[in-house]
Amino acid sequence: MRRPAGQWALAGAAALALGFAAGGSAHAYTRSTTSTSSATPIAWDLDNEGTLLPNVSDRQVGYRLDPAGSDDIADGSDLAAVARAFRTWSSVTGSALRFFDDGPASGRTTLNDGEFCVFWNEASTVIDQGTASADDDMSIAGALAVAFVYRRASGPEAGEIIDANIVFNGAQFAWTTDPAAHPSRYDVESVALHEIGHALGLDHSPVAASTLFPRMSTGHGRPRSLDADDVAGVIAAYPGGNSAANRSVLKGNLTASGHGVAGGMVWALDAQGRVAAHAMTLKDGSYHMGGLWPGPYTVFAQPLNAPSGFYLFAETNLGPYFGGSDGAFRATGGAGVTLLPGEEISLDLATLAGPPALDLKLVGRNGSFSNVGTWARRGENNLTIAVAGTGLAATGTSLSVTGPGVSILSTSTSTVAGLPAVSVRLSVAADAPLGARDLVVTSGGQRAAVLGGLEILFPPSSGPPPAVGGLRVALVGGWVDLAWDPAPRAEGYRLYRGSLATLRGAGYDHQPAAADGGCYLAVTDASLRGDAATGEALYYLVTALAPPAEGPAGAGSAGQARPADPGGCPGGSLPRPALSPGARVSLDPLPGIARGTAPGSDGGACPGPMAALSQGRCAALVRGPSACYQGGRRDPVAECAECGAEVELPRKVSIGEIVECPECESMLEVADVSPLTLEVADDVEDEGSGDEGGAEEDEDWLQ
Amino acid sequence: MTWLSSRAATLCAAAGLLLAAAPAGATLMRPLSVADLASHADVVIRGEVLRVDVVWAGTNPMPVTLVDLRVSEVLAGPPQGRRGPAPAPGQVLTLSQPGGVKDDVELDYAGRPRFQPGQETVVFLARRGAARFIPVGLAQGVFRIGPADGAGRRALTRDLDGVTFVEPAAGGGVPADLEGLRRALAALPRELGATP
Repeated sequence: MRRPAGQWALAGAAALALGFAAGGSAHAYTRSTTSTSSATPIAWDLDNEGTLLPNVSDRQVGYRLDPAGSDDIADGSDLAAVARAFRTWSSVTGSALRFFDDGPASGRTTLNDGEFCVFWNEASTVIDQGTASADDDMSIAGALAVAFVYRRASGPEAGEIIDANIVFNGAQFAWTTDPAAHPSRYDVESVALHEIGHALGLDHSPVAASTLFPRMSTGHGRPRSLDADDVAGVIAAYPGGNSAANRSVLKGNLTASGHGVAGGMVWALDAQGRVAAHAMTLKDGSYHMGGLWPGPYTVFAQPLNAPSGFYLFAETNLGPYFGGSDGAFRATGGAGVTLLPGEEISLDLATLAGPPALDLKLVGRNGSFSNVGTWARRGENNLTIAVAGTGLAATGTSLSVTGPGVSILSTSTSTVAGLPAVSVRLSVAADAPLGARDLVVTSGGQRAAVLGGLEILFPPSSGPPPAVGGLRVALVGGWVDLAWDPAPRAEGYRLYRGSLATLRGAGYDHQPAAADGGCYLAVTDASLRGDAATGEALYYLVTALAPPAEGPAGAGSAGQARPADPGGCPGGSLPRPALSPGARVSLDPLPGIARGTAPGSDGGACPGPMAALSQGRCAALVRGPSACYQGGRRDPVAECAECGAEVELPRKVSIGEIVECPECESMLEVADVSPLTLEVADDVEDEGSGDEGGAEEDEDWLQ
Repeated sequence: MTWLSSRAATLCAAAGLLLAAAPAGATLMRPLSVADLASHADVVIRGEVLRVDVVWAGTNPMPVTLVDLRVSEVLAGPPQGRRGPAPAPGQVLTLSQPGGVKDDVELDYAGRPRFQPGQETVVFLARRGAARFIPVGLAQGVFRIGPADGAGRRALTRDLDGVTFVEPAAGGGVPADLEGLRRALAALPRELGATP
C-alpha cells in the first residue's frame, strides 16, 4: 500500500511527519467518553448478548416511541419524524449500527430498564419516573431535549452503552414537523437526529453543518440528514457493512512547540474542499479520525474558540473529558495526505505554542450574524457572507471558501458587535459541489477557519419531491441489483434495506398499502430468509432527493433546508423480483445516500451503492464488505466448489471461463452466471482468469 | 447529552450592525434567568455540600446522586402554605439528581449538575415529596460560590460543560456574584413557586 512520494504535500506552518501505522485504535475518535480522565469512548456493543437492552444481540438496537408523542402535533407525524431520524442513522454506508422500532414505549421514564424509550415530557419540566421514590425525579427546565445514556463505567466492558432514553421538553418548547408552516417551533426530526447521535455515543461536533453541531434554530435550522462528519463519526464507532473495509483512518499527534495539544480541533478537507471529518485531540495530543473515504485530503488544526462572549465552538460544548483544553497554539497550515482504501495513516501536525492570532466567532449571511454556520445555494449570486472575530486586521484581511465553484466578487471589512468582520460578495456556480465548506480568514499572515461554515445546498425549486417508480430487484450471482426509473428533478436517491418494520418505523410515511406492492420489493427467497439474522424477508425502498420546495424558514434562522423524501408511494404494483434459487445476499445493511450528493456518489471518493447506467437508469448494487470500492464497483464473487471460499471474478465473465481459487488453488470453471456458479474444472492447463479490462457496459451485468 | 434551542443564536443585524443584545457570557442550553429559575423552584438555598453519594434509586435501576446540603441561608422561598415546612439555617437537606456512577454503571447527560463535598453552593430547588429536593434547570440552577475578593465580592460560577446556550441570555444573563443574585431574587415581582 505504498504511494508515490510526490503525493505528499506540506503547506503553511505545519510540520508534517508521516508514517504507516500498524494496528487500529478505535478509542480515539471524537466521541463521548466514560469520564473526565478516561478517553474510553462509549458505544453500543452490537455483539454483546448480555447487554441490558433487548435485541442488541441481533446487531440492532431497538427503540420504543411513546404513542402520545407531542401535544403540539396531532397527526402522528411527530412519531414518524423520530422514526425517520433513527432510520437516517441506520442508513450509513460502512456503519454496522442499525436501529429498529421495538414497539410502543411502556412508559415515560428514563430508567435503566432495558427500554430505549423516546417521549415528550409535557405536563411539567420535571420528569417523574412514576416510581414511589422522589429520588429519581429530575428537572429538565431549559433543555430542549436530553439524551440519557447508561454505560459501563469500568471493567472489561467499560464504555459499553447498555440503555438510553431521549426526552423532548414539551412543557417549555413548541414542536413541529412542518417548520415552514411553523417557523417559531422546533423541528422534531432535526432534534431527534441530534439526540440519537448522542445516544449512539457521539459528542458534539465543531463542524457547523454537522447534525452534532450543538446549536439549532426554530424552523429549518439544519437539514434532516447527516453531514459527512456525522457519517464519519458513526462509521468510526460502528465500522461494518458495505464498504467498511474501504474506509480509511487518519491519526497522529498534534504538538505545539513540542508539546502535545489537548483538545485541539483537527479536520480533513476532501478534494472538493468539503469537511470530510474532524477529530478532537486527546489529552496526550493524539487524534484518530476514522470513517474516511479513500482519496486525497488536506488536514488542518486550530484551537477551539475561547468560551467567552460569542463563540462558535468551545470546550464547554464538549463533555467533561475535554475540560481544560489547550487553546494556546497557532492554527496550522494544510497538510496533504492521500488515503488508500482501508488504510490507516499516521500524520503528525506540529505548530507553535502561543495565543491564537485569530478567533472566529460569528458568521454572517446578508447582514444577519449568528454563532452557527450558514449556507448558499447552487447558482446563487451576489450573496454576502461574513465572518467576525478577534484579531482581524482592518486591512489586508481576506475571506475565502474552500473548494471549487464559489467565486469571490469583492471583499470589505467592518465591525459587528464590537468585533472586526470581513465580508465577501460571492457567487456560487450551478454545478458547485454540494457539501460543507470552510470559511477561511487570512489576516496578518495568520489563518483560521470556520469548520463547515458554509454549506452548499441545492438550488430552490418548487413542487413536491419526485416519486420513484419502476423499482426492480434481481439477484445475480451473489449480488442483489436494484434498478429504478429516474425521477424528474432528482438530485440523488436514498436507498434503504431492512425488515418491513424497520423501514416503516412508527407511522412511517412511506407505509405501503400492501407489503409487496407500492414502494417495496421483498426478497423472499427461502435461502435469503435463511441468511437473514432476523428471519424476515428483506425490503428495499428508494426515495428521491430533490431541492426542497420551501425556502429558508424561521426568522433569522440558519435556514438550511433538506432534500426531502417523497410524500407517498409512487403507486402501482411492482413485479416481484425473479429470484434465483440458492442465491445468497449479503446481510450488510444497505446504505442510504448521503445528503447533497448527485447520483453515483456518496459524499466521497467512493461511488457508493449508486451507479448511473445507460438508458437513463440508476441502479444500486448491494453486496459484501467491498461493494463500495474506490473508483468503481467491486468485482463479483462466487463460491469455490472445492473449499467454499469466496473467489473474485472479473466483471466480464462468461460460462466456461476458468479461474483459480485463492485459498485452495483449485482451478474452477464458471458453470453459470446467474447465479454465478463455479465448478471444479477438469484438466486445466494454466488458464487465465479472463478479461481484466472490465469495460463491459453496465447493463450487461445488471438485470 | 443535552441539546438546546437556538432561536436567538441568530443575531439580526442591519447594515452590518448587530442589533440584538450580546450574551455577556455566552453559555449553554436555553439560558434561564434568575426569574426563570425561580419560577421552577420552591426555594433557593445557600449551603455547604457535606456528602455526595450515588445510590440505586429505590427499586429502580437508576444511579442517583444524593447530596447532603447544610443550609447556610435561605435566599428565597418557599411560597407560603406550599409543600411542607421552610428549610432553616443549619438544617441538612438531601438533594437528588439522577446520574453518576454506581457499581460499574454510569448514567450521564450533558448539563448534569455535579457537586463536591466542601463546596459552597447556591441551588435553586424544587421540593419533591416531604423530604426531597431536586435542582431545577440542570446545571444552570447550581452555582458555586467563590471566596471573597478584596471588595468582599463572592463570585458565582457554574459547571456547564457539555451543554450549549443556544440563544442569548435575556438581560445579560445571571448575576456574577452572590450579592448580585440576592438583589435579583429580591427584585422578583412575585414569590417563588414551582411551576410546571
